[in-house]
This record gives sequence, C-alpha cells and structure tokens, in this order.
Amino acid sequence: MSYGLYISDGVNGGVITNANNVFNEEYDFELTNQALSAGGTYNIQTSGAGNPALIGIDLIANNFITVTRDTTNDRIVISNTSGGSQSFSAKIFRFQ
Amino acid sequence: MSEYGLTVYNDNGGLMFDSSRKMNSYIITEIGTGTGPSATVASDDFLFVKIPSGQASSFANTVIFMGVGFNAQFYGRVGTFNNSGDSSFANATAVTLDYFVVKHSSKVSSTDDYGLTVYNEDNTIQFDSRSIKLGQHFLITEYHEPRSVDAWSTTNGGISLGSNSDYWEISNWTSGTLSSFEGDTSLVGLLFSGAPYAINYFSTAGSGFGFGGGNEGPFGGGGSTTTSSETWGDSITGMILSAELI
Repeated sequence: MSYGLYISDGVNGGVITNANNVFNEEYDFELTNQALSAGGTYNIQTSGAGNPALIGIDLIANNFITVTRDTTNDRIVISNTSGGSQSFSAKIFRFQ
Repeated sequence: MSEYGLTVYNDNGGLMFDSSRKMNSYIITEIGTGTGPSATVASDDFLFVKIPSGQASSFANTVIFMGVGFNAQFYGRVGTFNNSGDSSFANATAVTLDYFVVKHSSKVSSTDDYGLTVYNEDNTIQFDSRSIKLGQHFLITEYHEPRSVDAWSTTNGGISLGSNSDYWEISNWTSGTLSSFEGDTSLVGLLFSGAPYAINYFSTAGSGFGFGGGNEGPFGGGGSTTTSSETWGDSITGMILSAELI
C-alpha cells in the first residue's frame, strides 16, 4: 500500500482505499414483493455516490418484469411488461 | 455526495463507504474446503465456490448446486447429455469444493473496544472493522445481471460465465432435486466444462424428491425451449457473481 486507509487489528486487516473494493448492499433500495401495475415502471435512483456502472441488481420476479439501465439519468428502471399487476423483489449492490 | 459523515472512494470510482446512503458492507467470515460451510447460510449471505486445484476433470458434466436452509451443502449431479430430449442425471452426491462465505459486517459480533465503525444515517452499522476476522479479503470479478446469461443446453452452447479459477456464488440462484423419480428432475446450477456455464434444466415426468432452492426456486429462468419431456431454460433469473480472494 502506498496511500489510503488501512484498518487493522494488528494481525488481520483490510480496506485499502487505493485499488481495493468494498462489496456493499444498499438496503435503502431493498424491495420485497413490490407490486407493479400493468405496464408500470419503478425507478431506482442511483446517482450521487460513485460510478453508476458499478452498481448491480438482483431480482426475484417472473418473466414479465424487466430491468433496464438509464445511464443518462443514473437510474435502474424496473418495468412490468404484462397486462396485469405483477410483483417483484430486488436488492441493489455496489461491488466494483 | 453527502455534506456530512464519511465517504470513501477507491481509485476506480467505486464507492467504498458512504455513511449517508444506508449500506451494508460484506466481509469474509469463513474460508475452507469441504462439502459445505460450518453454519447455515442466511438469505443476505453469499457463498462462493470453486473446484479445488487439479480436480477440474473429475467435475466434467457435473452440475453443481446448493441445498440451503436446514442443510447448507454442496451437491453435484453428473449429466448424460444428448440433444434428442432424453438427457439424464445421476443422483446427487455431496461434492468437496473450495469456498468462502461473506456476511454483512454488522452481523459479525465482537467484544473488542477498538477499531473503526461506520454508521448509516439511521444509526445502523454500515461497516465495523471488528468484523474482520480473517487476513484475506475478496474482490468481485464478474457480475451477470438477472436474465442476461445465455444458459447452456444440449442445443445451445451457452455463454461462458468467466474463469474456472474464480470463485462462483451459488447460494442465491442455484437449486436442484437430489434424485429423479420417474424422470422428474430440476436443476439450476453451474456446469464446469472447460469454463463455468449456467444451466437451467427441468424434466416433467413424475414427481421428484428434493430440496434447496435459491431465491427464484427451481423454475427460475427466462424463456425456454422444450424438447420431449425436457425444458432447458434460456437464462437465469438471479444475478450471478464471481470473486477472487486477495
């Protein structure tokens, strides 16, 4: 390590702020059985903290629920492509 | 960026900590080689596995998946594949893999009275340096978005997920029945065939016995193609991650 923050207990350590990473879940965006009306969308705003390309999503849903990236507006957009109400669960991660 | 608290970026633009954003940092709690971790894997945890060094050939045609909940164990079912609609899988056996487990930092307790704790704005813990118990750490090397993976089948070679030398997360998306009964088999898992591939297989005859299931259950996956009694899912519903120890 040549610079940055390193946290150690004297034996084990971690988190070097140069090229290292911390794998985080953003639980503020955790959704469980979120209802989405026919043709509806749900936007997750990811701007304001780092590179939006370094954000991932995990999704539990049927095939009518799709995920797209709106990089212009730093959003992840979850859409219901069906003609009826659907539900989904999702988690957002920062991992790169 | 917040105007208060602690925010840390790395030199790649990745956000490491931000005390204003309600995040949970993951840390390694267990590294080993065996047929499963020492403790049950919780729904927020991730478990990464790889084939032990020099044993790739013994895992050829083996679909690896994980039983979760009361029996967090690694399983493999050896497939006999053909494209005429009657592939088959041997009964599941426990397989020995290299693995590591990661959990939210806030869930690892410590009685030490020193270190660095990062709190979220709602006073929950984002990161606690006392949760670091091991000298090794991990780096996410691949991320495959839900339904983005082209799953392997007998008529579609699928897309390589990455490298066999990486650890692959299996606790949140793999599942499978342990045996077949009158041909009924469900498998969502990893096939290490030169490189790691995702597989999403279901045969419909009879009823099987089994357990497990990632978050999406045994019917996870996107669209599908059906031949005879077999269904090969074209994709995987959940995200797929790989990592390396550093």
